[in-house]
Amino acid sequence: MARKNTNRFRGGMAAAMVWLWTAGYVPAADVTVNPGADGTLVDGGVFGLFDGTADAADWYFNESTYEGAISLSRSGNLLEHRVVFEFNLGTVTYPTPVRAMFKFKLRGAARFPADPADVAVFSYPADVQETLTDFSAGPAQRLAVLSVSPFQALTSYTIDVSGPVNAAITGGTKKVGFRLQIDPLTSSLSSQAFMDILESDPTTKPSLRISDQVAGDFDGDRDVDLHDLAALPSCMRGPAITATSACQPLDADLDADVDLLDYARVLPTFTAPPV
Amino acid sequence: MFTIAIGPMLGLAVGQLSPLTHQMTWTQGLDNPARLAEADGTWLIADTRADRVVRYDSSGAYLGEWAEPAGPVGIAAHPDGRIFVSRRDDRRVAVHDAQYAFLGFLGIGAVSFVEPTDLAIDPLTGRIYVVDTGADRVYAFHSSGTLAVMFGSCGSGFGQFKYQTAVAVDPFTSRVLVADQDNFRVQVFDTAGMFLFSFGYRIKYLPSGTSAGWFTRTAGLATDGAGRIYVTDALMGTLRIFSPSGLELGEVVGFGANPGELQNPGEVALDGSGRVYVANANVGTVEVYDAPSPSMLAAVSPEWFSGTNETVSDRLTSPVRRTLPWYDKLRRGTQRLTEEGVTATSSWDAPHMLSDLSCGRCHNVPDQPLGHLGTLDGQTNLCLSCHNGAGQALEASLRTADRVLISLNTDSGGRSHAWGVSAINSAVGSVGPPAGSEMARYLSSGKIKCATCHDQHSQIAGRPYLRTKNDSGGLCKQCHAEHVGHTPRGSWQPTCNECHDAHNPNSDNLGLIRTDVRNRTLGLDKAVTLVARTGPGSFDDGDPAANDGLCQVCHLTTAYHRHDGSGAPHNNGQDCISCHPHDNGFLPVSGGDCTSCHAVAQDNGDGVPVGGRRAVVGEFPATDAHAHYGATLGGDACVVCHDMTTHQDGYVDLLDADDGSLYRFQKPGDLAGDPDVSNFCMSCHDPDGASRFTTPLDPFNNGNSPPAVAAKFLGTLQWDEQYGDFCFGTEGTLRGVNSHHDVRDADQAFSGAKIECLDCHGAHSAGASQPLVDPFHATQPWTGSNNAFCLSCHNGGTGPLDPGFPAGVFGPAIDTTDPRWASLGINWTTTLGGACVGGGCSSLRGIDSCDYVDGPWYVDYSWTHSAHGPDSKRGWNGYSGAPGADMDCTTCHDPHGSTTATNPAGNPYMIRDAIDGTAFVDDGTRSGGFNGPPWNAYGTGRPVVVPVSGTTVGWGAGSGLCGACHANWIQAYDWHEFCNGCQTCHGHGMAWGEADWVGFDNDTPCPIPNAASLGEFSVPAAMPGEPESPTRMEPQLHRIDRRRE
Repeated sequence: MARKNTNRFRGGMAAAMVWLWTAGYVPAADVTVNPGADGTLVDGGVFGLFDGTADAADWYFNESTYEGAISLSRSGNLLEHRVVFEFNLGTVTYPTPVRAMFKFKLRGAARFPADPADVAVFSYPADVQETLTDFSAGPAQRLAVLSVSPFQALTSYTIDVSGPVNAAITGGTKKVGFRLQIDPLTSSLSSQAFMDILESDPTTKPSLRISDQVAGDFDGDRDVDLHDLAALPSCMRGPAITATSACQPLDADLDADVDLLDYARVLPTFTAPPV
Repeated sequence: MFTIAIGPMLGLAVGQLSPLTHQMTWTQGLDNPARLAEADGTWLIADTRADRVVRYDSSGAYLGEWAEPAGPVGIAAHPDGRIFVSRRDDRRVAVHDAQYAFLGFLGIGAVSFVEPTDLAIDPLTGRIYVVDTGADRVYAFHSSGTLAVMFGSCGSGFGQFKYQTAVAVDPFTSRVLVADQDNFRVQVFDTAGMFLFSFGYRIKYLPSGTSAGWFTRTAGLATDGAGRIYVTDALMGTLRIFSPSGLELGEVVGFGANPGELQNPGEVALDGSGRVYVANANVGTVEVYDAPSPSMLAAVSPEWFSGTNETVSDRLTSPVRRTLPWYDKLRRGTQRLTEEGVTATSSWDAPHMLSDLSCGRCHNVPDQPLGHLGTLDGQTNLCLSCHNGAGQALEASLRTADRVLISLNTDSGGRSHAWGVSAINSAVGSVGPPAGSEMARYLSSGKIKCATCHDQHSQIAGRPYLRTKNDSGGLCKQCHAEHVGHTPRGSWQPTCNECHDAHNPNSDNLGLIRTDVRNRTLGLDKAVTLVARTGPGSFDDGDPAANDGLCQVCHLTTAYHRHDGSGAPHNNGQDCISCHPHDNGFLPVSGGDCTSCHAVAQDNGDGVPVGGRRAVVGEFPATDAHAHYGATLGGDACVVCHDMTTHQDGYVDLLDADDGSLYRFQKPGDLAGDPDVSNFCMSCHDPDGASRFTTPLDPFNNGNSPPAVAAKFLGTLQWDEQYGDFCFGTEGTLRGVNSHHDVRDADQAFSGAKIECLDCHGAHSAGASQPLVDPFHATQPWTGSNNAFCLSCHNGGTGPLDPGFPAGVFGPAIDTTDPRWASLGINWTTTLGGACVGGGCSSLRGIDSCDYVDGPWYVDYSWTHSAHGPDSKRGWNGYSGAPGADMDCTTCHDPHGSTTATNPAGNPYMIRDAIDGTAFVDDGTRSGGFNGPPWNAYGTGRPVVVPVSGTTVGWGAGSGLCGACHANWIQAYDWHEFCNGCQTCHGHGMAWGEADWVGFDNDTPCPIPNAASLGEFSVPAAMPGEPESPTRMEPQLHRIDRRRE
């Protein structure tokens, strides 16, 4: 049996660098890393006027009773809205590979007629100095393309970003950025989606959850075998039901529950135990 | 704190732009202009509250107006000439041709508008944009009317709206700008409705020293040829210009009441030359400005600002914020709600939160400096920025021109209760809120503002936003204390709100009268028109088709003005409250107002009272006011005496002038015993006057004091004063009486006499110049002479048993067998020789009692021949040089009686306490002969005390009556020295051709005094040219006996 990892996350506690979900509490298996507070946008819309000049005119900070609404749009080639979130993973040494999930919510444009918005999620090596130049930086990786329909209500999305996060850790930068924008490859030149961030609803805040556990590795031997799957029936309590600490390894998407989505993620990783 | 985002601060400070040059103000035909549109060189103005579209040319000439029902709140002119008008009340967008002929409605079959407000036309594409505020959406229609795009939903995210109020289209880029009022921003979209960007902030970042992009109530939008964006702010009363990308260039028009300044701006629009037009909604004007200088705009560096993303919950939970006054205020308000039994599930249950509003809607103004919000007008503007004709709170629109409540008393209207004026206003009966009251705390230098009556954080059940409950008019009466409200006539009492609506922008009624008033008995609302006090549109103008009088809403069973229009005609088209004033619970009262009804008698048909209303106007002398000495008939003269609490119940109610006790009767004679109406009169006509008033000796507030006569009615009118005075006989008086006109019932019961104040005085007709009424016609002023008045009663009638007195007036009716006489030492048998005991004279009546018809006391018999009458010796030719002044009875007699502090017993026979004899002359000293003219010995004015000793009356005593004029009477005849009882020989009835003394010729000697006491004297010979000397007068009893023979 593989070594059971008891060296839980030892994230650096530099407050400005890593946010714990609840101050003073060290999670047993994973941690939520919120966007850094060093200038990373969390509550500001970003207006990029791609006129070749990066200046103040490209920016807009929204102030309203809501905390933030971010437009993701593209209108022809002259106008594009996109947003970046950069995460500082701290100075600690993470046991890799880790699992990392980037979570956020999007809604569709409230207009008719309108095309579905293809929202692409890119990762890139962040500098945690989020600036306008981030918009012109080339994407390191095109992680996913999400289709957001017109009038679609605020919908939660979870993107597995383990790859870029592990790369950031192992590469030593320990910084990773994610950019959401209308997919440049989409055929529609007039599509739009929005990210609303509401202080009254913490789940609307984009977050990065990292776990040093292998998804589905219930017994801690860093594989997923029949021993681990045997625990699934008793741990699978369904969506939005917080999993017990013992079941957390089965929370593949790091949304704190064990449901069919986790099962779907775990199943492909099933391997026979080493003989 | 969630996070902080800091953006760059670029450029120069906002405010460098010079103010726009004001050109003109349009006012004609405008009431509450909300929106503007340029059409073919003219300007169309949607006047929301007036339901019309007004047209001006570009020079400001008023061209006319079109009716546009259902509250036009948006207007736009299409390049093809069509005019689109959004209508608040029927939720439609009407389409007219260029001549304003109605063509149809926009969007029928495609959309259902919830609350269409502002409109805009894209001149390039012809698209028509409609802001549907209620649906949180913007529609774009093709020029053909088919739907092209719609965008927006409720929320604060990009592309979402919270009470968007205005839309504009950049004519060069076709970008669509939407004023997103409750998100405090302007959002910009492309033609596909895709969000491009927005600008504007809720918080004014004073710490950074800028207000760039700070919006409080975005109201109007426009763009100029360079894509710059013009934004009006209804709360701050400003017009500001922004760059095409939303960076603020500066404020170009500010808040104020001067021409060209803005208070509550709505739409802003530009013409082709860049000239700027702003609808100053609640002021009722359109302000026109020159185009801003392009060079000036180019010289200004734009500014933008990014600050803390502070949230509402941050403000409430921050320890720092908890110390702020507004926080405490809100907390108190919430606490109070709970105390008053209103469940507040959270502090957000406070009013203005219930309609999806947030604290930030109003609490987005930092604490200092307040700017114009520190002024009364500014604070009011905070309310008006929503509560205007086209604003979010449509139901409570105010307008500057309406700010002063014009009462019904001044024939003018007003749609809103007063604000910005003193809380003390006698014209509307307002004394202001009580000192120290909560309402008083919310006055601004004694002036009313919205917060005086309204508590924006209060949610009192059934009466939201009020400082105090208004049940039974409690709030209204804080100031209008004198308005006692409607007198209850049934099981319920109307409150102020039943008839009045403090804010009704759609009403043309006077006095804030509701346009619909509910009859609670029937449970029905009834339309009310009260646009004039009299004539058409007045209370009840008698138009049976309209049947929309105010009073007749509730009156179901009254004789007049009934709910269904029935009832007897009653002053139709007249001003009800002139007779039924508000301050008296609409019961009819008050001076001249009373007489407007009491000019004619009227039977109200219900039998109560039997005689209905008495006409009293004719009782008031034309040249003199009411009896009470100069009081005018207007004002509150009537209610000085009359109590109107139960007016119209068939009774006259008088209030005692001292203690306010009630005298209630249908006819004065109904009060047959004390206290009767005379007691009411004397309650005022006494030394302390009407002590229940603040000015007891001036109850009518006209400087006239009621004569104090009550004290004179002392004693008992008994047969103590026998009408004669004999030196040698039985003198009458034992001095038990001061007045023969005694009005006290106790005295009357003893004497049998009866007379009351109203037998001589008219309640209404007695005036300063003529206080008397015809005793035989109690409501008719006396028009004769004073003496004729006295003699109208004192004429003897037909004899002792019928003295000819007015009805209800009696002379003494003495039962001579009453043992009380004996206790007074009077033996009638001895006194009158039994003459009046039995034999048809068992009772004594009037002044002719005991058949003294030929005596000097029987005044009418001989008055015209009396010594003091025109045919008396005064008229004898031997006295031809004597002044011809006739003498009134009242020269010597006081009709009320006599008493003074120094002469408390008073003078007998109602002789005045003071005599003014200066107008009369004595006939000189005639001792030893007739001196003849000239008559140069005038009488004097002096106090008079007629001494009484036992039964002897000293008429000629030094302080007596006669000597006031006849100073030398002793010298007139030698034997005068033996007797100062002048009336022994002289009386009223002596003519010049007759004897000076009663009943005898001049040969009859004067009675000889008792020799033992007075000594002997001789009867003098007649003097030349003088009537024969009187003979000695026989004793009284003898004379009486003689007459009986």
